[in-house]
Amino acid sequence: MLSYKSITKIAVYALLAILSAGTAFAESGQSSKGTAKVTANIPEFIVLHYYSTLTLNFETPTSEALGEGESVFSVSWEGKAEGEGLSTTSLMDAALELDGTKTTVNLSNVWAVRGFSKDGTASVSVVVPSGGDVLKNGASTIGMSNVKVTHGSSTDDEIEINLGGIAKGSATIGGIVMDLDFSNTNRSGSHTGGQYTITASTI
Amino acid sequence: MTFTPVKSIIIVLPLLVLCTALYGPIEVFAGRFYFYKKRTLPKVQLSEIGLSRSGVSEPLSPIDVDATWEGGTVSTPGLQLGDNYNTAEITRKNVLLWYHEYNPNNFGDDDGDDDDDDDDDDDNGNSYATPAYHVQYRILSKSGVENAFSHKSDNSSVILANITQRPIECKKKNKNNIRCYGRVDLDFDISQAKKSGKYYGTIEITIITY
Repeated sequence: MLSYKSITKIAVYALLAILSAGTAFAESGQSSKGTAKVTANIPEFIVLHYYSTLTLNFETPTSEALGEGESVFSVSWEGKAEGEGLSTTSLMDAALELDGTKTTVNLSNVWAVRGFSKDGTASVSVVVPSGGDVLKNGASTIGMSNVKVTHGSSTDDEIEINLGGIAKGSATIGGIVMDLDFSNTNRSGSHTGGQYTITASTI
Repeated sequence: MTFTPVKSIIIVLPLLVLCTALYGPIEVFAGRFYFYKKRTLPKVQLSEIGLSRSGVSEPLSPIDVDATWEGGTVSTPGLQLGDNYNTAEITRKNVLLWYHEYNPNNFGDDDGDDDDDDDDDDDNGNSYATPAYHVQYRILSKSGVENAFSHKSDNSSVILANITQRPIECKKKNKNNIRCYGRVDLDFDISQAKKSGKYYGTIEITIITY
C-alpha cells in the first residue's frame, strides 16, 4: 500500500522525467543556422537585330500642268526666233519642289539591341561604307547623306543607349535618319546600292 | 490517504505513457555543422544563353515601306525579333552549402551491429546511424529582396533565384566521423538582369536535426 505522500512523490518524479525528457529533446532536435554568400557571374554580350534589306517606295508625284503665261518671240523669215522662252530660273513652282533641298527620311524601328554590359549601356553607331552613299539606276542616282542613328531624343553618328537585358520584350529599339538627294535622279524605278552599317558595342 | 498498488499503477502509468508519447525515444545527437561562407558559382557561359560569341548580329527579313517626297517619319512595321538568344533560365546544380560531421558512435544505436536479418551491405560493418534533417533555405538579395540576387553596383538589376534541396548524402569521413552534405540546385532567371558582372545573394540556412 502506498501513502498519498508516496504517490505525490512518484507523480513529481514523473513530471520531472517529462521535463528532463523535454530538455533532452531540445538537444536531440537541435537547430543550426548559417548563411552562405553566393556569387553568380553574368557574361557581357550584345545582340543587334537589323533589317538586311530595306526598300523605300516613294509615292508617285501628282501630275500637274502649269501654265507659264504668254511669251512673244520675234521670228525672222529665215526661221530664227528671239524672245523670252522657258528657263530653269523662271519656271513656276509645282506642288513638289526638291530644288536645293534634300528629303530627310526618318526610319523608326529598324534596329534593336539587347544584352548585358558592365554598366548596362551600349553604344550604337552608323557609317556609310565606301560607295554606299549613292543609289543608282543606270546614270540616274539618288544621293544618300547625313545618315544617323536615333533613339528617343538622341540622334547622332553614335549614341549611347541603355540595355534592357536579354529578354525580347526589353530590347532597345531605334531608328535611322538620312537625307536623300534627288537632284541627279532622272529615272523612275528601283535605285539600288545604298548601304549603311550599324555597329552596337558594349562600352 | 493511501492507495493500493493497483490504484498507484493507474495513476503513475498514464504519466509515463504521456511522457513517452510526447517525446518518444530520446537520442542525444552530437556533431558540428559547417557552413560555407562564400560560394562562387561557375560563370554563366555564352553557350548557356544560346550565343556562340559575345557580339551577335541577326538580320531580319527585308521590309518595304512607303515614303513621301516631303520626308519625315516613315511608318515601319514593328520589329519581329526571333526567339534566338532568348534563353533566360540558368541552372547550377549540386551546390554544396553545408555539411554536418558527427561521430555515429554517439548517436542512436551505436553497437555497430546490423539489427536486421537480411544480408545487405550494412552487415559488413558500414552501417551507421544518420540523423533526420529538416532544412529551410531562404535567398535574399543585397537589398533584401527575397528569391533574388542583385548586381554588385545596381540593386535594380536582379536575377531571380529559386532553390531546390537535394537529398542529403552521408559518407564516412574516417573511422569515427560521418559527413552529411547539404547540396542544392539553384535555378536562375536572368530576364530581369541588365548588367553583366557579379550578382550577389545570401542564402540563409536553418537546419533542425532529429
